[in-house]
Amino acid sequence: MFVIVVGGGKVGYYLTRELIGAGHEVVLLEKTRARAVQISDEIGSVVLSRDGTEGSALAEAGANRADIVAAVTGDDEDNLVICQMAKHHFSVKRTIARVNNPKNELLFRHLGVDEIISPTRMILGAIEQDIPVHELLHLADLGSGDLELIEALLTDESPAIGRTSGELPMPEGCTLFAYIRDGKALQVRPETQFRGGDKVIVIGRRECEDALRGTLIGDEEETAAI
Amino acid sequence: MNDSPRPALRRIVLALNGAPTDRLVVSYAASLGKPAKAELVALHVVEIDWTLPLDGSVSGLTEEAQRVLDIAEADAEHLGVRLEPVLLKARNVGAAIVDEAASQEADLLVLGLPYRKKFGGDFVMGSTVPYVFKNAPCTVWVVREPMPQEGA
Amino acid sequence: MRAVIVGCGRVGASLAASLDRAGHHVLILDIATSAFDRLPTTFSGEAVRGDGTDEDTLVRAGAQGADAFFALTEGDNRNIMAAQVARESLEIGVVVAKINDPVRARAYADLGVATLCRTTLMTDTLLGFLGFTGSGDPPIHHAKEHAHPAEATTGSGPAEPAPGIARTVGEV
Repeated sequence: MFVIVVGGGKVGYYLTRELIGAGHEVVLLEKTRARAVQISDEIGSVVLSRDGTEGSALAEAGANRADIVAAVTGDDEDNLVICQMAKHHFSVKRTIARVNNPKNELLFRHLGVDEIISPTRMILGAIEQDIPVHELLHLADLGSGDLELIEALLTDESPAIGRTSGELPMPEGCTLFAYIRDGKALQVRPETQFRGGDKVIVIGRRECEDALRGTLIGDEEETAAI
Repeated sequence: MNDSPRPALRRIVLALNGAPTDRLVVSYAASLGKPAKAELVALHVVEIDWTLPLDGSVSGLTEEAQRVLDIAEADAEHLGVRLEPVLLKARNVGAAIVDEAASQEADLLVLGLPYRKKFGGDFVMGSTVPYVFKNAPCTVWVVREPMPQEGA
Repeated sequence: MRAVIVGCGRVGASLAASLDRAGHHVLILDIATSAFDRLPTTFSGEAVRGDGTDEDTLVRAGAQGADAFFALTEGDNRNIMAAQVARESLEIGVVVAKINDPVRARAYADLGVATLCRTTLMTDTLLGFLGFTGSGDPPIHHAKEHAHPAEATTGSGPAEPAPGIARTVGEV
Protein backbone atom coordinates (compact mmCIF):
# COMPACT_ATOMS: atom_id res chain seq x y z
CA MET A 1 0.00 0.00 0.00
CA PHE A 2 1.22 3.54 -0.74
CA VAL A 3 0.41 5.94 2.07
CA ILE A 4 0.98 9.70 2.24
CA VAL A 5 1.24 10.94 5.81
CA VAL A 6 0.91 14.69 6.33
CA GLY A 7 2.27 16.21 9.53
CA GLY A 8 5.54 15.15 11.15
CA GLY A 9 4.59 15.62 14.78
CA LYS A 10 4.71 12.71 17.19
CA VAL A 11 1.72 11.02 15.60
CA GLY A 12 2.99 11.40 12.04
CA TYR A 13 6.48 10.30 13.00
CA TYR A 14 5.47 7.08 14.72
CA LEU A 15 2.80 6.35 12.13
CA THR A 16 5.38 6.62 9.36
CA ARG A 17 7.81 4.41 11.22
CA GLU A 18 5.21 1.75 11.94
CA LEU A 19 3.91 1.74 8.36
CA ILE A 20 7.41 1.33 6.95
CA GLY A 21 8.03 -1.45 9.44
CA ALA A 22 4.89 -3.17 8.21
CA GLY A 23 6.27 -3.07 4.66
CA HIS A 24 4.22 -0.23 3.22
CA GLU A 25 5.50 2.49 0.94
CA VAL A 26 5.26 5.77 2.82
CA VAL A 27 6.07 9.41 2.19
CA LEU A 28 5.77 11.96 4.97
CA LEU A 29 5.08 15.64 4.32
CA GLU A 30 6.33 18.00 7.03
CA LYS A 31 6.38 21.71 6.34
CA THR A 32 8.91 22.73 8.98
CA ARG A 33 12.27 22.20 7.35
CA ALA A 34 14.25 21.49 10.50
CA ARG A 35 11.76 18.89 11.66
CA ALA A 36 11.70 17.29 8.20
CA VAL A 37 15.49 16.97 8.21
CA GLN A 38 15.48 15.57 11.72
CA ILE A 39 12.98 12.86 10.78
CA SER A 40 14.72 11.89 7.56
CA ASP A 41 17.99 11.61 9.51
CA GLU A 42 16.23 9.10 11.71
CA ILE A 43 14.11 7.07 9.33
CA GLY A 44 15.54 7.71 5.88
CA SER A 45 14.62 9.52 2.73
CA VAL A 46 10.85 9.31 3.01
CA VAL A 47 10.30 12.92 4.02
CA LEU A 48 9.41 15.88 1.84
CA SER A 49 9.67 19.31 3.40
CA ARG A 50 6.45 20.66 1.94
CA ASP A 51 3.14 22.04 3.13
CA GLY A 52 0.69 19.21 2.51
CA THR A 53 -2.26 21.57 2.20
CA GLU A 54 -0.80 22.89 -1.06
CA GLY A 55 -2.06 21.06 -4.10
CA SER A 56 1.40 21.06 -5.65
CA ALA A 57 2.91 19.40 -2.57
CA LEU A 58 0.41 16.56 -2.66
CA ALA A 59 1.11 16.19 -6.38
CA GLU A 60 4.85 15.98 -5.74
CA ALA A 61 4.26 13.40 -3.03
CA GLY A 62 2.52 11.16 -5.54
CA ALA A 63 -1.11 11.70 -4.52
CA ASN A 64 -2.03 10.56 -8.03
CA ARG A 65 -1.19 6.98 -7.05
CA ALA A 66 -1.69 7.04 -3.27
CA ASP A 67 -4.00 4.46 -1.72
CA ILE A 68 -4.39 6.40 1.52
CA VAL A 69 -3.77 9.96 2.67
CA ALA A 70 -3.54 10.39 6.44
CA ALA A 71 -3.70 13.99 7.67
CA VAL A 72 -2.35 14.06 11.22
CA THR A 73 -1.18 17.64 11.76
CA GLY A 74 -2.13 19.46 14.93
CA ASP A 75 -4.51 21.78 13.08
CA ASP A 76 -7.99 20.58 12.25
CA GLU A 77 -8.46 23.03 9.41
CA ASP A 78 -5.27 21.81 7.75
CA ASN A 79 -6.30 18.19 8.14
CA LEU A 80 -9.68 18.92 6.58
CA VAL A 81 -8.16 20.68 3.58
CA ILE A 82 -5.56 17.94 3.07
CA CYS A 83 -8.25 15.25 2.98
CA GLN A 84 -10.57 17.23 0.75
CA MET A 85 -7.79 18.08 -1.72
CA ALA A 86 -6.67 14.44 -1.73
CA LYS A 87 -10.17 13.16 -2.28
CA HIS A 88 -11.51 15.62 -4.81
CA HIS A 89 -8.41 16.82 -6.60
CA PHE A 90 -6.46 13.57 -6.70
CA SER A 91 -9.22 10.97 -6.30
CA VAL A 92 -7.47 9.26 -3.39
CA LYS A 93 -9.66 6.37 -2.31
CA ARG A 94 -9.24 6.64 1.45
CA THR A 95 -8.61 9.71 3.54
CA ILE A 96 -8.01 9.71 7.26
CA ALA A 97 -8.02 12.84 9.40
CA ARG A 98 -6.91 13.46 12.93
CA VAL A 99 -9.46 15.70 14.60
CA ASN A 100 -8.41 17.57 17.69
CA ASN A 101 -11.66 19.36 18.45
CA PRO A 102 -14.21 16.54 18.92
CA LYS A 103 -16.91 18.91 17.74
CA ASN A 104 -15.42 18.78 14.26
CA GLU A 105 -15.95 15.04 13.84
CA LEU A 106 -19.42 15.36 12.40
CA LEU A 107 -18.47 18.17 10.06
CA PHE A 108 -15.48 16.26 8.72
CA ARG A 109 -17.55 13.16 8.12
CA HIS A 110 -20.21 15.24 6.43
CA LEU A 111 -17.59 16.88 4.22
CA GLY A 112 -16.39 13.55 2.90
CA VAL A 113 -13.44 12.54 5.07
CA ASP A 114 -13.53 8.73 5.15
CA GLU A 115 -12.09 8.10 8.56
CA ILE A 116 -11.77 10.33 11.57
CA ILE A 117 -9.47 9.75 14.47
CA SER A 118 -10.05 11.92 17.50
CA PRO A 119 -7.41 11.53 20.21
CA THR A 120 -9.37 13.92 22.40
CA ARG A 121 -12.50 11.81 22.06
CA MET A 122 -10.58 8.61 22.68
CA ILE A 123 -9.00 9.89 25.86
CA LEU A 124 -12.30 11.36 26.93
CA GLY A 125 -13.92 7.99 26.37
CA ALA A 126 -11.21 6.25 28.36
CA ILE A 127 -11.60 8.68 31.21
CA GLU A 128 -15.35 8.34 31.24
CA GLN A 129 -14.98 4.58 31.28
CA ASP A 130 -12.42 4.75 34.00
CA ILE A 131 -14.32 7.06 36.25
CA PRO A 132 -15.70 4.06 37.87
CA VAL A 133 -19.43 4.06 37.86
CA HIS A 134 -18.84 0.61 39.22
CA GLU A 135 -16.09 1.36 41.64
CA LEU A 136 -15.91 2.39 45.20
CA LEU A 137 -15.10 6.03 45.62
CA HIS A 138 -13.08 7.19 48.59
CA LEU A 139 -14.71 10.21 50.08
CA ALA A 140 -12.62 10.70 53.20
CA ASP A 141 -10.48 9.08 55.83
CA LEU A 142 -12.03 9.32 59.23
CA GLY A 143 -9.58 10.42 61.87
CA SER A 144 -9.92 7.47 64.18
CA GLY A 145 -7.83 4.45 63.10
CA ASP A 146 -8.42 3.06 59.63
CA LEU A 147 -12.05 3.97 59.11
CA GLU A 148 -13.05 5.63 55.90
CA LEU A 149 -16.06 7.09 54.17
CA ILE A 150 -16.88 5.31 50.92
CA GLU A 151 -19.38 5.97 48.19
CA ALA A 152 -20.66 3.28 45.82
CA LEU A 153 -22.77 4.02 42.77
CA LEU A 154 -25.17 1.14 42.17
CA THR A 155 -25.83 0.09 38.59
CA ASP A 156 -28.75 -2.00 37.44
CA GLU A 157 -26.39 -4.99 37.48
CA SER A 158 -25.44 -4.54 41.10
CA PRO A 159 -26.22 -7.57 43.31
CA ALA A 160 -27.72 -5.16 45.84
CA ILE A 161 -30.59 -4.21 43.53
CA GLY A 162 -33.96 -5.55 44.54
CA ARG A 163 -32.89 -6.53 48.04
CA THR A 164 -33.52 -4.69 51.24
CA SER A 165 -30.66 -3.21 53.11
CA GLY A 166 -31.21 -5.69 55.94
CA GLU A 167 -30.68 -8.63 53.56
CA LEU A 168 -27.30 -7.44 52.29
CA PRO A 169 -24.29 -9.33 53.62
CA MET A 170 -22.25 -6.56 55.20
CA PRO A 171 -18.68 -7.11 56.39
CA GLU A 172 -17.98 -6.74 60.11
CA GLY A 173 -17.74 -3.20 61.25
CA CYS A 174 -19.22 -1.61 58.12
CA THR A 175 -22.39 0.42 58.16
CA LEU A 176 -24.59 1.53 55.32
CA PHE A 177 -25.91 4.73 56.72
CA ALA A 178 -27.17 6.90 53.90
CA TYR A 179 -27.97 6.89 50.22
CA ILE A 180 -28.54 9.53 47.62
CA ARG A 181 -31.45 9.19 45.22
CA ASP A 182 -32.66 11.87 42.79
CA GLY A 183 -30.36 14.37 44.40
CA LYS A 184 -31.75 13.80 47.90
CA ALA A 185 -29.86 12.32 50.81
CA LEU A 186 -31.88 9.65 52.58
CA GLN A 187 -31.27 7.54 55.62
CA VAL A 188 -30.79 3.81 55.07
CA ARG A 189 -33.32 1.69 57.00
CA PRO A 190 -33.37 -2.10 57.17
CA GLU A 191 -36.33 -2.15 54.77
CA THR A 192 -34.77 0.26 52.24
CA GLN A 193 -34.72 -1.26 48.73
CA PHE A 194 -31.94 -0.03 46.46
CA ARG A 195 -32.33 0.90 42.84
CA GLY A 196 -29.89 1.43 39.98
CA GLY A 197 -28.44 4.95 40.17
CA ASP A 198 -28.50 5.10 43.95
CA LYS A 199 -25.32 6.32 45.60
CA VAL A 200 -24.73 4.45 48.81
CA ILE A 201 -22.57 5.94 51.55
CA VAL A 202 -20.74 3.51 53.80
CA ILE A 203 -18.46 3.85 56.78
CA GLY A 204 -16.09 0.96 57.02
CA ARG A 205 -12.56 -0.31 57.54
CA ARG A 206 -10.12 -0.22 54.68
CA GLU A 207 -9.61 -3.99 54.62
CA CYS A 208 -13.34 -4.48 54.05
CA GLU A 209 -13.27 -2.82 50.62
CA ASP A 210 -13.15 -6.08 48.70
CA ALA A 211 -16.10 -7.53 50.55
CA LEU A 212 -18.03 -4.29 50.11
CA ARG A 213 -17.32 -4.29 46.41
CA GLY A 214 -18.72 -7.82 46.17
CA THR A 215 -21.90 -6.81 48.00
CA LEU A 216 -22.60 -3.49 46.30
CA ILE A 217 -20.99 -3.68 42.88
CA GLY A 218 -20.44 -7.31 41.98
CA ASP A 219 -17.21 -9.11 41.20
CA GLU A 220 -14.53 -7.77 38.89
CA GLU A 221 -15.25 -9.89 35.81
CA GLU A 222 -18.87 -9.01 35.78
CA THR A 223 -18.33 -5.31 36.09
CA ALA A 224 -15.58 -5.31 33.50
CA ALA A 225 -18.08 -6.60 30.97
CA ILE A 226 -20.54 -3.78 31.57
CA MET B 1 55.79 10.22 9.76
CA ASN B 2 57.13 8.82 6.50
CA ASP B 3 56.57 5.24 7.51
CA SER B 4 52.92 5.67 8.48
CA PRO B 5 51.16 2.97 6.47
CA ARG B 6 48.96 3.99 3.59
CA PRO B 7 45.35 3.22 4.33
CA ALA B 8 44.20 0.02 2.70
CA LEU B 9 42.36 0.69 -0.55
CA ARG B 10 40.52 -2.43 -1.52
CA ARG B 11 37.37 -0.97 -2.93
CA ILE B 12 36.54 2.49 -4.23
CA VAL B 13 32.98 3.56 -5.05
CA LEU B 14 32.68 6.25 -7.73
CA ALA B 15 29.41 8.15 -7.59
CA LEU B 16 28.63 9.40 -11.08
CA ASN B 17 26.00 11.96 -11.95
CA GLY B 18 26.19 12.31 -15.73
CA ALA B 19 27.93 15.69 -15.54
CA PRO B 20 31.38 16.50 -17.00
CA THR B 21 32.80 15.89 -13.52
CA ASP B 22 32.37 12.13 -14.13
CA ARG B 23 35.53 12.23 -16.27
CA LEU B 24 37.49 13.75 -13.39
CA VAL B 25 36.12 11.25 -10.92
CA VAL B 26 37.07 8.28 -13.09
CA SER B 27 40.55 9.54 -13.81
CA TYR B 28 41.42 10.43 -10.20
CA ALA B 29 39.95 7.22 -8.88
CA ALA B 30 41.86 5.22 -11.49
CA SER B 31 45.17 6.87 -10.68
CA LEU B 32 44.65 6.11 -7.02
CA GLY B 33 43.14 2.66 -7.40
CA LYS B 34 45.38 1.20 -10.07
CA PRO B 35 48.61 0.98 -8.05
CA ALA B 36 46.65 -0.29 -5.05
CA LYS B 37 44.88 -2.86 -7.22
CA ALA B 38 41.62 -1.64 -5.76
CA GLU B 39 38.26 -2.69 -7.10
CA LEU B 40 36.42 0.22 -8.69
CA VAL B 41 32.65 0.33 -8.47
CA ALA B 42 30.90 2.89 -10.68
CA LEU B 43 27.58 3.87 -9.15
CA HIS B 44 24.89 5.88 -10.83
CA VAL B 45 21.66 6.67 -8.99
CA VAL B 46 18.52 7.66 -10.83
CA GLU B 47 16.26 9.70 -8.61
CA ILE B 48 12.61 8.70 -8.99
CA ASP B 49 10.09 11.18 -7.66
CA TRP B 50 7.13 10.07 -5.57
CA THR B 51 4.65 10.24 -8.43
CA LEU B 52 6.12 6.96 -9.69
CA PRO B 53 6.58 3.66 -7.91
CA LEU B 54 10.22 2.69 -7.36
CA ASP B 55 9.83 -0.74 -8.91
CA GLY B 56 8.06 0.47 -12.02
CA SER B 57 9.87 0.75 -15.34
CA VAL B 58 11.18 4.18 -16.26
CA SER B 59 12.36 3.34 -19.75
CA GLY B 60 13.79 6.60 -21.08
CA LEU B 61 15.44 7.39 -17.79
CA THR B 62 17.28 4.09 -17.37
CA GLU B 63 18.66 4.16 -20.91
CA GLU B 64 20.10 7.58 -20.21
CA ALA B 65 21.50 6.27 -16.94
CA GLN B 66 23.05 3.27 -18.69
CA ARG B 67 24.84 5.67 -21.01
CA VAL B 68 26.41 7.45 -18.05
CA LEU B 69 27.89 4.15 -16.91
CA ASP B 70 28.94 3.13 -20.45
CA ILE B 71 30.92 6.34 -20.91
CA ALA B 72 32.62 5.87 -17.56
CA GLU B 73 33.51 2.27 -18.40
CA ALA B 74 35.02 3.33 -21.71
CA ASP B 75 37.05 6.05 -19.98
CA ALA B 76 38.27 3.56 -17.40
CA GLU B 77 39.31 1.06 -20.03
CA HIS B 78 41.36 3.81 -21.61
CA LEU B 79 43.13 4.31 -18.32
CA GLY B 80 43.74 0.59 -17.95
CA VAL B 81 41.33 -0.14 -15.11
CA ARG B 82 38.07 -2.04 -14.90
CA LEU B 83 34.83 -0.59 -13.49
CA GLU B 84 32.03 -2.62 -12.06
CA PRO B 85 28.86 -0.73 -13.00
CA VAL B 86 25.95 -0.41 -10.56
CA LEU B 87 22.69 1.28 -11.49
CA LEU B 88 20.21 2.16 -8.74
CA LYS B 89 16.83 3.77 -8.57
CA ALA B 90 16.06 5.68 -5.38
CA ARG B 91 14.04 8.51 -3.90
CA ASN B 92 17.14 10.33 -2.75
CA VAL B 93 20.55 10.24 -4.40
CA GLY B 94 22.60 11.02 -1.30
CA ALA B 95 20.99 8.32 0.79
CA ALA B 96 21.40 5.75 -1.99
CA ILE B 97 25.10 6.58 -2.40
CA VAL B 98 25.71 6.24 1.32
CA ASP B 99 23.80 2.95 1.48
CA GLU B 100 25.73 1.53 -1.46
CA ALA B 101 29.09 2.62 -0.06
CA ALA B 102 28.19 0.94 3.20
CA SER B 103 26.95 -2.31 1.71
CA GLN B 104 29.99 -2.50 -0.63
CA GLU B 105 32.23 -1.85 2.37
CA ALA B 106 34.00 0.79 0.35
CA ASP B 107 37.26 2.25 1.68
CA LEU B 108 36.81 5.39 -0.36
CA LEU B 109 33.92 7.18 -1.97
CA VAL B 110 34.63 9.65 -4.78
CA LEU B 111 32.03 12.18 -5.92
CA GLY B 112 32.05 14.89 -8.53
CA LEU B 113 30.73 18.36 -7.82
CA PRO B 114 29.89 20.60 -10.77
CA TYR B 115 30.64 24.29 -10.28
CA ARG B 116 27.24 25.90 -10.37
CA LYS B 117 25.85 29.25 -9.32
CA LYS B 118 22.27 30.10 -8.62
CA PHE B 119 20.48 33.27 -9.56
CA GLY B 120 22.23 35.98 -7.63
CA GLY B 121 25.64 34.44 -8.13
CA ASP B 122 26.12 32.29 -5.03
CA PHE B 123 27.88 28.97 -5.47
CA VAL B 124 25.50 26.02 -5.07
CA MET B 125 26.69 22.91 -3.31
CA GLY B 126 23.38 21.08 -3.62
CA SER B 127 22.17 18.63 -1.03
CA THR B 128 23.89 15.39 -2.03
CA VAL B 129 27.49 16.29 -1.13
CA PRO B 130 26.66 17.62 2.36
CA TYR B 131 24.49 14.58 2.98
CA VAL B 132 27.25 12.19 1.96
CA PHE B 133 29.82 14.10 4.03
CA LYS B 134 27.59 13.80 7.03
CA ASN B 135 26.57 10.17 6.62
CA ALA B 136 29.08 8.13 4.61
CA PRO B 137 30.90 5.51 6.70
CA CYS B 138 34.14 5.65 4.68
CA THR B 139 36.58 8.29 3.49
CA VAL B 140 34.91 10.74 1.11
CA TRP B 141 36.66 12.60 -1.66
CA VAL B 142 34.84 15.29 -3.60
CA VAL B 143 36.24 16.40 -6.94
CA ARG B 144 34.94 19.84 -7.72
CA GLU B 145 35.33 20.85 -11.34
CA PRO B 146 37.50 23.89 -11.98
CA MET B 147 35.81 27.28 -11.97
CA PRO B 148 34.73 28.10 -15.52
CA GLN B 149 36.68 30.89 -17.27
CA GLU B 150 35.14 34.35 -16.90
CA GLY B 151 32.93 35.17 -19.85
CA ALA B 152 32.92 31.57 -21.00
CA MET C 1 -29.04 42.16 5.49
CA ARG C 2 -27.20 40.30 8.25
CA ALA C 3 -23.57 39.62 7.50
CA VAL C 4 -20.99 37.56 9.42
CA ILE C 5 -17.31 38.30 8.92
CA VAL C 6 -14.60 36.02 10.31
CA GLY C 7 -11.23 37.71 10.63
CA CYS C 8 -10.87 41.38 11.49
CA GLY C 9 -7.80 42.10 9.40
CA ARG C 10 -7.60 44.98 6.94
CA VAL C 11 -10.10 43.48 4.53
CA GLY C 12 -12.44 42.19 7.22
CA ALA C 13 -12.48 45.46 9.14
CA SER C 14 -12.92 47.54 6.01
CA LEU C 15 -15.78 45.38 4.72
CA ALA C 16 -17.42 45.42 8.16
CA ALA C 17 -17.20 49.22 8.31
CA SER C 18 -18.66 49.64 4.82
CA LEU C 19 -21.58 47.28 5.40
CA ASP C 20 -22.22 48.87 8.77
CA ARG C 21 -22.26 52.36 7.26
CA ALA C 22 -24.72 51.16 4.63
CA GLY C 23 -27.09 50.18 7.42
CA HIS C 24 -26.58 46.42 7.47
CA HIS C 25 -26.25 44.32 10.56
CA VAL C 26 -22.67 43.12 10.91
CA LEU C 27 -21.23 40.48 13.24
CA ILE C 28 -17.44 40.26 13.11
CA LEU C 29 -15.27 37.65 14.85
CA ASP C 30 -11.56 37.46 15.50
CA ILE C 31 -9.44 35.38 17.85
CA ALA C 32 -7.70 38.54 19.08
CA THR C 33 -9.62 41.46 20.53
CA SER C 34 -6.78 43.78 19.52
CA ALA C 35 -7.84 43.20 15.90
CA PHE C 36 -11.03 45.13 16.60
CA ASP C 37 -8.93 48.28 16.92
CA ARG C 38 -9.09 48.38 13.14
CA LEU C 39 -12.83 49.02 13.27
CA PRO C 40 -13.89 52.67 13.13
CA THR C 41 -15.20 54.15 16.38
CA THR C 42 -18.54 54.67 14.67
CA PHE C 43 -18.96 50.91 14.09
CA SER C 44 -22.34 49.92 15.48
CA GLY C 45 -22.25 46.17 14.73
CA GLU C 46 -21.13 43.38 17.03
CA ALA C 47 -17.52 42.37 17.51
CA VAL C 48 -16.99 39.01 19.19
CA ARG C 49 -13.75 37.38 20.22
CA GLY C 50 -13.73 33.72 19.18
CA ASP C 51 -12.69 31.04 16.74
CA GLY C 52 -14.75 31.42 13.58
CA THR C 53 -14.14 27.80 12.55
CA ASP C 54 -15.94 26.58 15.67
CA GLU C 55 -19.62 25.93 15.15
CA ASP C 56 -20.58 26.52 18.79
CA THR C 57 -18.77 29.84 18.87
CA LEU C 58 -20.54 30.95 15.71
CA VAL C 59 -23.91 29.90 17.04
CA ARG C 60 -23.33 31.57 20.40
CA ALA C 61 -22.33 34.76 18.62
CA GLY C 62 -25.59 34.64 16.70
CA ALA C 63 -24.32 33.74 13.23
CA GLN C 64 -27.20 31.42 12.51
CA GLY C 65 -29.69 32.73 10.01
CA ALA C 66 -27.29 35.29 8.55
CA ASP C 67 -27.67 36.22 4.90
CA ALA C 68 -23.97 36.28 4.06
CA PHE C 69 -20.78 34.89 5.53
CA PHE C 70 -17.24 36.02 4.72
CA ALA C 71 -14.18 34.06 5.88
CA LEU C 72 -11.32 36.56 5.68
CA THR C 73 -8.63 35.42 8.14
CA GLU C 74 -4.96 35.18 7.21
CA GLY C 75 -5.10 31.37 6.93
CA ASP C 76 -6.42 29.79 3.75
CA ASN C 77 -7.35 26.61 5.52
CA ARG C 78 -9.05 28.36 8.39
CA ASN C 79 -11.15 30.26 5.87
CA ILE C 80 -12.01 27.08 4.02
CA MET C 81 -13.11 25.40 7.21
CA ALA C 82 -15.08 28.38 8.51
CA ALA C 83 -16.86 28.66 5.16
CA GLN C 84 -17.81 25.02 5.17
CA VAL C 85 -19.07 25.22 8.75
CA ALA C 86 -21.20 28.20 7.69
CA ARG C 87 -22.59 26.43 4.68
CA GLU C 88 -23.03 22.92 6.01
CA SER C 89 -23.87 23.47 9.68
CA LEU C 90 -25.34 26.95 9.79
CA GLU C 91 -26.90 26.66 6.33
CA ILE C 92 -26.00 30.18 5.32
CA GLY C 93 -26.69 30.74 1.63
CA VAL C 94 -24.01 33.21 0.56
CA VAL C 95 -20.58 32.11 1.73
CA VAL C 96 -17.27 33.48 0.47
CA ALA C 97 -13.80 32.35 1.56
CA LYS C 98 -10.58 34.22 0.92
CA ILE C 99 -8.05 31.69 -0.36
CA ASN C 100 -4.70 33.01 -1.50
CA ASP C 101 -3.52 29.78 -3.10
CA PRO C 102 -5.05 29.77 -6.61
CA VAL C 103 -5.08 25.97 -6.82
CA ARG C 104 -7.10 25.66 -3.63
CA ALA C 105 -9.29 28.62 -4.62
CA ARG C 106 -10.39 26.78 -7.74
CA ALA C 107 -10.70 23.39 -6.10
CA TYR C 108 -13.04 24.75 -3.43
CA ALA C 109 -15.19 26.61 -5.91
CA ASP C 110 -15.75 23.14 -7.39
CA LEU C 111 -16.64 21.92 -3.92
CA GLY C 112 -19.32 24.54 -3.46
CA VAL C 113 -17.53 27.38 -1.66
CA ALA C 114 -17.29 30.71 -3.44
CA THR C 115 -13.66 31.76 -3.26
CA LEU C 116 -11.76 34.99 -3.58
CA CYS C 117 -8.10 34.68 -4.50
CA ARG C 118 -5.90 37.67 -3.72
CA THR C 119 -3.02 36.26 -5.75
CA THR C 120 -5.01 35.94 -8.97
CA LEU C 121 -6.84 39.18 -8.28
CA MET C 122 -3.68 41.25 -7.88
CA THR C 123 -1.81 39.58 -10.71
CA ASP C 124 -4.71 40.17 -13.06
CA THR C 125 -5.14 43.75 -11.91
CA LEU C 126 -1.47 44.52 -12.48
CA LEU C 127 -1.46 42.83 -15.89
CA GLY C 128 -4.62 44.74 -16.78
CA PHE C 129 -2.98 47.97 -15.65
CA LEU C 130 -0.21 47.26 -18.14
CA GLY C 131 -2.77 46.53 -20.84
CA PHE C 132 -2.16 42.75 -20.86
CA THR C 133 -4.67 39.97 -20.59
CA GLY C 134 -5.05 38.39 -17.17
CA SER C 135 -5.78 34.80 -16.22
CA GLY C 136 -9.37 35.15 -17.33
CA ASP C 137 -10.44 33.83 -13.94
CA PRO C 138 -13.27 35.79 -12.33
CA PRO C 139 -12.41 37.84 -9.21
CA ILE C 140 -14.66 35.52 -7.23
CA HIS C 141 -14.97 31.89 -8.23
CA HIS C 142 -18.64 31.20 -7.84
CA ALA C 143 -19.50 28.04 -6.04
CA LYS C 144 -20.55 25.31 -8.39
CA GLU C 145 -24.21 24.59 -7.76
CA HIS C 146 -25.25 21.34 -6.12
CA ALA C 147 -21.69 20.14 -5.96
CA HIS C 148 -22.14 18.51 -2.61
CA PRO C 149 -18.67 17.81 -1.30
CA ALA C 150 -19.39 14.29 -0.14
CA GLU C 151 -20.50 13.26 -3.61
CA ALA C 152 -18.55 15.58 -5.87
CA THR C 153 -16.15 13.80 -8.15
CA THR C 154 -14.65 16.82 -9.83
CA GLY C 155 -11.07 17.66 -10.58
CA SER C 156 -9.19 14.41 -10.77
CA GLY C 157 -5.64 14.37 -12.03
CA PRO C 158 -2.60 16.26 -10.88
CA ALA C 159 -2.70 19.82 -9.60
CA GLU C 160 -2.62 22.45 -12.26
CA PRO C 161 -0.21 25.34 -12.09
CA ALA C 162 -1.40 28.56 -10.53
CA PRO C 163 -3.84 29.98 -13.03
CA GLY C 164 -2.96 33.64 -12.72
CA ILE C 165 0.70 33.15 -13.35
CA ALA C 166 1.92 30.41 -15.64
CA ARG C 167 -0.66 30.91 -18.28
CA THR C 168 -0.73 34.67 -18.51
CA VAL C 169 2.98 35.18 -18.69
CA GLY C 170 2.98 32.86 -21.67
CA GLU C 171 0.31 34.97 -23.31
CA VAL C 172 2.19 38.16 -22.59
